[in-house]
Amino acid sequence: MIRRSTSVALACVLVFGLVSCARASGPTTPAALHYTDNGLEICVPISTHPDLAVGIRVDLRGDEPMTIKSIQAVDASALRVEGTWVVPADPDNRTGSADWPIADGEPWWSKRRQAEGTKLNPGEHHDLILHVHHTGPGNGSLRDVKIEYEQDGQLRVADAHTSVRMATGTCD
Amino acid sequence: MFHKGICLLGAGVLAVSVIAVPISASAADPAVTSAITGHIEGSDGTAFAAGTPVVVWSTPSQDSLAAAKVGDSFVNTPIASGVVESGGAFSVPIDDVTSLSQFASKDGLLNLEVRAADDTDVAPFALSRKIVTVDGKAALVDPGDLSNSKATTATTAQVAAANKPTTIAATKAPKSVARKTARVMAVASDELPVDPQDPSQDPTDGSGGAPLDPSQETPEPTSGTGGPGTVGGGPDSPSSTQVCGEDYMQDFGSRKVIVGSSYANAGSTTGTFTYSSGASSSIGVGYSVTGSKGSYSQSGTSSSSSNGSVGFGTRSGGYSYATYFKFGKYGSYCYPVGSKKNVDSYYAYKVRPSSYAGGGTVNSSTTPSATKCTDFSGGGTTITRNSSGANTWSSGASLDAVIGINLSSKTGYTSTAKLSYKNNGSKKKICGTNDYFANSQRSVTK
Repeated sequence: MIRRSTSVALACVLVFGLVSCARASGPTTPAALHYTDNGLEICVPISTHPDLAVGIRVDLRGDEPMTIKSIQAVDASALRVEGTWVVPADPDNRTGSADWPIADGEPWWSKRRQAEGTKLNPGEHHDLILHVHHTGPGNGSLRDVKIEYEQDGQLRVADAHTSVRMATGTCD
Repeated sequence: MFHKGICLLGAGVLAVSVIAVPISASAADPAVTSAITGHIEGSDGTAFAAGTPVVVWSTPSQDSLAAAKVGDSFVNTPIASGVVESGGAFSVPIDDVTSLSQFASKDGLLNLEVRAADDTDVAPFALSRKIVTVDGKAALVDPGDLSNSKATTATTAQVAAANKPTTIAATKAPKSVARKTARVMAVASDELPVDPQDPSQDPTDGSGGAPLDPSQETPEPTSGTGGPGTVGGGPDSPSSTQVCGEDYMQDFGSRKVIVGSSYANAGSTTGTFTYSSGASSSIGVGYSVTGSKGSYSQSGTSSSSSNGSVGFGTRSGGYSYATYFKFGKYGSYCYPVGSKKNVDSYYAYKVRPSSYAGGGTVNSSTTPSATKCTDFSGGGTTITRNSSGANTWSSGASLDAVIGINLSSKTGYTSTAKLSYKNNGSKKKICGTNDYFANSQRSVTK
């Protein structure tokens, strides 16, 4: 549940009193997830990829664990995110873009967990896998992927700066 | 700034949660305050002496440089000053960013120069900054950090990045030159900030206003950086004591500058790099005390934008992509108000890009080591990078033939400078040299 917090302080005071809202002054620790990139687009022709696996690295900064709350496909059009999972990742070999379905024989895929509710710890390397399905009609696209997570009792959102395009023709 | 409140309920408690969402990139950002900071190392490796004045000057904008002809003269204006602190560090806050627009090109780009000098060394350093709006306040950012060169807004994180210290390596200079430069900086520093109502400053007093060498005279500068060319608001200002600027001495013509690369080494993969109108490259600026070939060293960079598009084709294998910029040689001068410029007493020379020339060339390039890999699905999958990070080519700008060294070049991937890889075969990998593809300086398909 996400709200802008214009009335947060007031709400906290009304419900819990000042002491229970001691943390209302804002985040005190660096965000566990941060993507400095400004733009990465993955494009696939629908003819070869009506379904696609998109991998987004989830490497935590700092020393606080975090729990994924939700994954949001921003401005999704003519496609749908059918599922999201977290898998352990080799830091030198991440998922990126991959054919769907992912072969069950892949050892890392057999260790997948539903993304929402998964707790991740610092020092570990994980990829977030999105199964993207073209629904049509026409070109499919999503402008960005946002990862909503809880860290140190606070809800945060990370912008993965990853867009997806599913083209009815070629990606040229 | 995000100081949003948060109030989470414990499990099993009435679900009345009012939750703020701090945007991660801004969670710990500092206030929007611009500054030029750094550390100056003397030519002998020791830190510059504490107390040495450091002055930030506006220098000719790209628009002014592009329109100039050999023989034209520009005036430079000191915009802020500070002093070297212990250990050689300095920090010069830029309090009034809005007022700097008079020195900027039409796209808001400022060419600045940090200068300091002691008895033996001079320490010039060129840098570009773009005037943007951050949370409604004017601020300076490194144009290379913007994903779009036409952007007029930025984040506090980008301001913070521009405020990070840079190291300036000073160059040994003849004592007369070093002292002359130091005197110019002392005067400029003393006269910032300027009180235009103060008529007491003697334009020829002994604090540095003595004529530098008035034996040969030339006319006053005819073109400026868009604002007054003297400390204190112009030659007629009662507080002005010196006029500083630079003369356009020589046109070096069009020189090749590397702007990108692709290494589509895996079978059935191709790389495409496009450099479009508005793309911005950060190109080295060479300084010399004497101006002769072989005497230059690079100190800082200048941002130049293209006004045309270059296509480099779709390629398999490793290639670097270059376009062309015009370069010029400029002589830096200062003379006291009331005196005349002495063309034989330039205290520094610099070589810098003056405008975009267009055209392109492709050269094969040795594949770098790249070990940070991600899967790259086949069947016509295309992955495009249009983010800001990019490789710095330490010798990317070909000036060796005219000044004895090549200068660096760096072009960020933006909406106007894009790198794409296409995979028409089966699954491959795309690997970055220093990070994954999305953040890597160079990348290779495997």
